[in-house]
Amino acid sequence: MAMLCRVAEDVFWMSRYVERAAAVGRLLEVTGHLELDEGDASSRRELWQRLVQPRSGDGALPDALTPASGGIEPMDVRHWVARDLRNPRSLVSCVARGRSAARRVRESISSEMWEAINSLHLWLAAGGADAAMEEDSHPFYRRVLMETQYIQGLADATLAHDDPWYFTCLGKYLERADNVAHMITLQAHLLHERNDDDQVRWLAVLRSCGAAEAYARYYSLRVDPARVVEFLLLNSSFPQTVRFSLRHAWQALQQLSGSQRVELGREGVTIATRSLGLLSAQLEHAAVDEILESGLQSYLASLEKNIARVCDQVTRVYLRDEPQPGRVVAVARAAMLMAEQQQQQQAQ
Amino acid sequence: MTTATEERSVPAYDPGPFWDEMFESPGIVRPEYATLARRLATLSSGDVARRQRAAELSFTVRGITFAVNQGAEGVEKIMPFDLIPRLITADEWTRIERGLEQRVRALNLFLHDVYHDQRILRSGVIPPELVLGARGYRREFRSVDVPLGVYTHIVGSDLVRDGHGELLVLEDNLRTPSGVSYVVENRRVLKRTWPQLFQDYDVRPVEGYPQDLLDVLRSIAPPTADDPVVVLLTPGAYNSAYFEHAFLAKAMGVELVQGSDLFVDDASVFMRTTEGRKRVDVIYRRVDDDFLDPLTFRSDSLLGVPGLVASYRLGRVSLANAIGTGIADDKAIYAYVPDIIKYYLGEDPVLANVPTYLPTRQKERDYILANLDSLVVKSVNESGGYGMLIGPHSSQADREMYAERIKADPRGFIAQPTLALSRSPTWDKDHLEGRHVDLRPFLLFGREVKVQPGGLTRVALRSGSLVVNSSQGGGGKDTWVLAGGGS
Amino acid sequence: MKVHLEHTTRLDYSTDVVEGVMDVRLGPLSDADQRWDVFNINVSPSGSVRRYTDGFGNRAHLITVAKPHRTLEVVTRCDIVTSLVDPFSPPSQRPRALTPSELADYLSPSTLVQASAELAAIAEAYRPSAPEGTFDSVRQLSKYVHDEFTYQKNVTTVATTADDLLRQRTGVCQDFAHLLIGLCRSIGIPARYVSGYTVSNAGVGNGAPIADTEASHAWAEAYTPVHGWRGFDPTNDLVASTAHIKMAIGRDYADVPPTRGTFRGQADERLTVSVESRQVD
Repeated sequence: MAMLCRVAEDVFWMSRYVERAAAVGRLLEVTGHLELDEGDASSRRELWQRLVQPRSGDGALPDALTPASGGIEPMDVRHWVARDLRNPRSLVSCVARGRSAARRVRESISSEMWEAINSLHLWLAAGGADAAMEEDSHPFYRRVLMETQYIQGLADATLAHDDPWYFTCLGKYLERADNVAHMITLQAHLLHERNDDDQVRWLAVLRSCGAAEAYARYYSLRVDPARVVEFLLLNSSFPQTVRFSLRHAWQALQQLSGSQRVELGREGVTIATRSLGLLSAQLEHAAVDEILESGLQSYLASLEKNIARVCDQVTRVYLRDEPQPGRVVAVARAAMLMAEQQQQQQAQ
Repeated sequence: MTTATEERSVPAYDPGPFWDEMFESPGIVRPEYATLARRLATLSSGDVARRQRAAELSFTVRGITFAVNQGAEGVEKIMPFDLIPRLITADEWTRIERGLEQRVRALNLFLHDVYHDQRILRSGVIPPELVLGARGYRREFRSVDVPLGVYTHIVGSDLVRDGHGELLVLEDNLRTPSGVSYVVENRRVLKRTWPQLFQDYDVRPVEGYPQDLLDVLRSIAPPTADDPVVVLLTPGAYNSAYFEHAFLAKAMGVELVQGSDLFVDDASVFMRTTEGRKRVDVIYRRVDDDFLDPLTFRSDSLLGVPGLVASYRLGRVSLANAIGTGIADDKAIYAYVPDIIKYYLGEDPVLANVPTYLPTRQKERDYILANLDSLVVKSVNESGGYGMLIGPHSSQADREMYAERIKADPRGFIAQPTLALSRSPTWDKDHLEGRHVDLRPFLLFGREVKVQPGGLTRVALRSGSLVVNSSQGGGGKDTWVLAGGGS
Repeated sequence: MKVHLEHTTRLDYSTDVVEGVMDVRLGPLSDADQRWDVFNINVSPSGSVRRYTDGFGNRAHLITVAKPHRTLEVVTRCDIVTSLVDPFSPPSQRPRALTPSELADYLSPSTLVQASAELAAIAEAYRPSAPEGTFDSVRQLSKYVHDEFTYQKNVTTVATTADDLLRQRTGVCQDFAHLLIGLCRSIGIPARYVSGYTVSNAGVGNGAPIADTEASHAWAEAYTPVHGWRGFDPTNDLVASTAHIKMAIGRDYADVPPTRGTFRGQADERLTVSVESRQVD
């Protein structure tokens, strides 16, 4: 079933923001947990500092969080990552943006989904949420996680599994693949500077991806860095892995391009499907030893870049109108061309 | 005051010197309210407060809100909701239906005439300059034959009751009237939060409205469209009525589009979809005339679709409502509606107008200027309760300012006596108090006229206030039209 | 007089655009004084052209080019026969009275011709003493505009009003027409805006095309009880006759610009217009 490009774009982003909110929530909780195991203030700081590594397109960090400021306060970082609306990736920002997108397309998603995301937003925006996060953070993050997963569950249960739903899948899985890759990136340095806490740190990575229990079930082994990387990147059946996510994103995209009428015949359709297919296939056939040998960090960097490129291509094919740069809803420039000689209407 | 053993059949309430919707006189309720009154008499204030909170939460969570500030990312507010319903008997409703149908049929004949032969202007029934100089008159829309000859497919007229209980038409909203979503949602929420109230009443359902609306929209599609594609055109998420736009689009199962989703090619309108372009046959537009098409109306409008008016003129797309209907709900032309009904239908109006004085008529202008302290003066080109002087509540300075404005621009104002609007018992913290109400029924006009059995009862929640607009402290009540046979 | 006309409107964009929409009022317009025998309109790249009648009774065309394009050219080719040789003589039949609608349109202020005290003060001296004097009054008003104001290009815009011209005293035909319309209306003479062409009589006859630098032209029509509608051209201080060809009529320029349009894209545009006219016999 065809849907408006503008609606497709908002559905795609709503889904990404909900997934991102869940990831940020998990990361915050796990980091808070790890902090309790750290004895001295400097290792606590170092722990939190990793969370403010800026990603492209996120804008500038506030002064207090820049490396130049010297001592970063864990409190400031937590506030920045959890609540600061200036941070486009903060938990509250993600929910607010997801909710705004949902509001713009409320007629195209189910009432249940809209009400669930609206409730989450209203709760976070209300005063009480601050106190809950500070004083009783575990139930707070539990609730965030439960509600985001509830929203995702509602997408599966209350939407017809046609185009709008495929766009939620595409958004969710591309975002997840990107997040998991990034979680590993945050800890990749541990491979070189081994120490006694590694076990705990790698367990934390698994937890940040919601994958600790599944990992234990698969390997029933000590937590080993190479196995963790292997599991999170390459496991084919657990839904919080890069390989699983990319395959499902690709399947959603194939469904979407399958519903394209031939008449459209846009070159871009094949380009997006092909690059995502290629990326997915690479993960299907990768081996962790080779990845580690050739350098995990560079592998992850290229993976993140490739995912970003696929997102870009998808947006260009489905959500934007070529040849116009900018959003599809970017207002058409209504230039009034009046043909009385070469007079131009002057701005008043 | 009430003891547990005392069986009261009437709640404590002072109807005051007003016509009251529930009470005939102190202690005596109107027959249709008897059952409801018994229930209200035994209520604890804690119970009502709890239900009130549940209702508000339901509106909030479901995002049934209106934006207070348009343009910027404004504050979303819920429309305050009073749990005590307003009842209308079957007999009275029949009269309302007849009156509204008569009015709307006459006004559509008027619109057709104004945009074609202008017989009514030549015949001298209405001064031509009043019509042709009105802000809502659209020269760009002359000599277009609209499908079914209908211009106003969706109408929401405001009715008020005067001090004698007589229902009068206060104004007709013939452009893009809003509020119908609240009719449906108020009912839904009241049923959820206080189902017991509905026992022993046979209330006519209001939920069929979106389907009726869809039927009307499909009925005006260009004849070439086999299976017409209908869309709802909204100015966007920051419009104050955005909730309603989303509500109606979803309930009808049609796309909610913005101007930038549409484009015109070969005089037809298309929307941009993930599968390419898709033809659009009918547009239920909630965008004002001025913003519909930058090539015809305001060239700075980014909400519209370039070429839309030409496409409409060519019959390639249909609009609801038509362009230029503002001429028929102009506040000054309103004064002539009884004459319009007489002229086109040869009938007397079923529902009377509120007496209206026009400053364009010398005698009436003198009367207005001499009686500003007792009249309500309204600016012809404003709505929503703005641009008004309520004489009895005004200061000397206000009256002098309005006197000058009226003298400078007689066409810009009308005056009406200050009506003692009827009151309806309304919950105020822990007890019932009378609050002034009006009624906006919604009417659909396609192949036939159909009035939604209900309507939005708007209530002025501030004690003593006569302004029921939601932008100025007004709220809503569920409106029960009782099925025939009576209770 | 029989005239052949070619009117070219060309838009060049700095980069590809899509969904070009152009609303044009380039004729045809046939009435008692002129007949458009041939009217062809060509669009390139190929697009759609749909004719409709606008709210003032003008023939208009909606042109759309959906696919990507970098230029848009609209060419009209027309053969027109004009017959009003002597505009000074009253017509054989008494002109019909104006309808309420026409009176409202052409006596009331409009977008670019707002009523003002200054206009009224000037016009008052020309108020006809009897209805029969209307024609001469308008002629004198037209002469007044011609004599008192200076023709100059590129000092006014499509948004310049009659009042603006009063202040700055220089402008083009469109501004002069607006001023004359405003003057007429302020003393109760219905007046309207004509968008069209003039064909200069001088130098015609050898069949050579005249490259007209001014592209299209504009003047005013006033309603006189004896003559009915007559055209007055304040730019040239002429009463319109066979050399004036009408394309469209409105209250002022804003109702009947020859072309106006939009496109989608991030391009800058350049507009060029040229008209070639040739007297055929």
